[in-house]
Amino acid sequence: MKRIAGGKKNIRNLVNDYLIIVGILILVIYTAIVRLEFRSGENVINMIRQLCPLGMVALGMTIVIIGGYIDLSVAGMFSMIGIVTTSMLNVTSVPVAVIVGLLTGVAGGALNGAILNFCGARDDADALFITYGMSTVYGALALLISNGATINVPTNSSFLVLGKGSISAIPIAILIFFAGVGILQFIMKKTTLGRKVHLSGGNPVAARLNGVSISKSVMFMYIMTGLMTAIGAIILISRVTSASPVLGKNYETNAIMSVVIGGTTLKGGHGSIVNTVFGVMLITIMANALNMLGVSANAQSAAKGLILVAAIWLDSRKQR
Amino acid sequence: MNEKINVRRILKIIQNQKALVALLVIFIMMPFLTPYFFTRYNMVELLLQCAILLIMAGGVTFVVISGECDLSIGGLMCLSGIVAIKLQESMPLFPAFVLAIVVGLLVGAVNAFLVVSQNADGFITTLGMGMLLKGVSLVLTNAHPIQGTNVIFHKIGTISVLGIPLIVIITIILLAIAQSVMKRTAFGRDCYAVGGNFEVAVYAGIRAKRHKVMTYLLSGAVTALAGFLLSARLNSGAATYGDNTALLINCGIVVGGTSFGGGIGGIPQTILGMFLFATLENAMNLMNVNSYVQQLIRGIIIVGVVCLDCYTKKKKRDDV
Repeated sequence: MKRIAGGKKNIRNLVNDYLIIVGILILVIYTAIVRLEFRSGENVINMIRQLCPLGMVALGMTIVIIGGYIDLSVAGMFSMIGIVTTSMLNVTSVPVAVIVGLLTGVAGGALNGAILNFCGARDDADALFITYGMSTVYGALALLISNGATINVPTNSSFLVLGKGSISAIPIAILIFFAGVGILQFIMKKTTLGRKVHLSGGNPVAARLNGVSISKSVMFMYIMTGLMTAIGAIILISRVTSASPVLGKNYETNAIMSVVIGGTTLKGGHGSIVNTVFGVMLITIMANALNMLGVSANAQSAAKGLILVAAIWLDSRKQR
Repeated sequence: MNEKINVRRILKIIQNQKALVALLVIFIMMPFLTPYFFTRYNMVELLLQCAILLIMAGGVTFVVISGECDLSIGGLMCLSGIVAIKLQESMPLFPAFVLAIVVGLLVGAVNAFLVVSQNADGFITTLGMGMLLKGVSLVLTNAHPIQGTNVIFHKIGTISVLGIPLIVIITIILLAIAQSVMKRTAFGRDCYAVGGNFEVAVYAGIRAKRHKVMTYLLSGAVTALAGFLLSARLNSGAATYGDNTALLINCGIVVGGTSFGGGIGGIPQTILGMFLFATLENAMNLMNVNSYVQQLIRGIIIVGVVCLDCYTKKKKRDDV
């Protein structure tokens, strides 16, 4: 009797875990059958390139969510970093511009962390509002710096290699992405820093009683997200060769969606970087498939909203 | 000695009534900065701006005091207006109005199901719901504003009774009802009990979950009403009207003195907070502040307000 009940529970968990993934896979297989160009090598390379910017942001988001917080400021920050980097590219050399871009991300993340630590935000609700406000601030700064105009990357710049170049047919961007995955997976699983983040997300009270400084974890999480967002933004502007002040729109939603679909729970404490890689792949392939099927941008945003709500719902069922 | 105590008391009053103090400062300063502020036209415009926001804020206050949060109101406001306009082409106004409200109730019911019955995190769930509703609005309008066709519909939004716009009168009546429900009925008292301490409320025999479901339904219905009135006033509906609304209203509620933790606050505080935000927006528009700078200021205020709320909570935690 007990075994049967356990079996039922297992089946329910299995359905919860894989419902969305199976749905997306069915969509992908359908697209591959009806649209031949979807399977072409060119499109696959294209998808791999598209995956990197969102992937980077999602990696950072995974750390914050495992730590029990959330970061909605990545949308504004992404735009700001894009504008700052392209502006710098027009006046200085490539390495300086890239470093300034990365530092902008680190500074933005550090500011988020410092504000959250200052006011003692201890749950994701406070973090959600504050980082949403910060997103507005960063977005406004991007608009002010660029005066609302799109800025182009100088043509023939060696900077373009980051987004467009490849080493023996493998895009450089994906190499950077997998290097990021490897480093972050190592930090999260093998170092005390990563374990502290897991602990502060899983049980903040126990973490504090064990001498883990939550403030330090928060700083680490948000600086990492800022840095990852910066790398993502730099790769994207290198591929599209321009930056608009609303470049990062919807990146926060897509990143959270990738993390949750990957299997990291929103309550914090559980999840992994590798899971998010699968989440990002699914989201990117789905967006590409919907484009190939000729679904309008409006319908796509409705579909994404539906998937996000469904993912949150299934995630909340998993925890009980 | 006596003076010292007086100063401290005054400081404490200022701390508790920061919204009122800020509002007074703006009202005293504005006539010096621009002659247009205290004109009859601008005051009516300010009241109208406030009225729509206040209707929604009144409903959301019940949710926030009960310890939850509703960020789907921005999307719902747009959607109900669009539904009302779409339906008035094929049916008389009254059924269209009823169906718009039903849409609000449905969204409230889905929110309640996810948050109360499935234990999903209220903030992220309703945020996702808002995105879904915006996507649906985009699909329904094809991303263009749509025009109302019914003459009476536009009349409702623009007519004045005894020199006061009808919308303002509706708002005042609704807020009066909300205040008496909050203070004089069991439902209102339950809000404070459930938000103050959920477990104690359950032990005291309050059907706390059912209560939370009711607050979400209420918030959905009044938001749909507000969306209907907004579309009636503008005689149009668009998916982008509500982009900042959810954040603005939730922060306005907190500025007034209601806390995200639940259990504290009331309708008068909400009115003050919303008035402050609307006046600030009005003042910035009158002074021709650059819209990017406006966005920056809005972001900084939101971060500041939520920070202050968190900081007070932190102080309370430390004192205990």
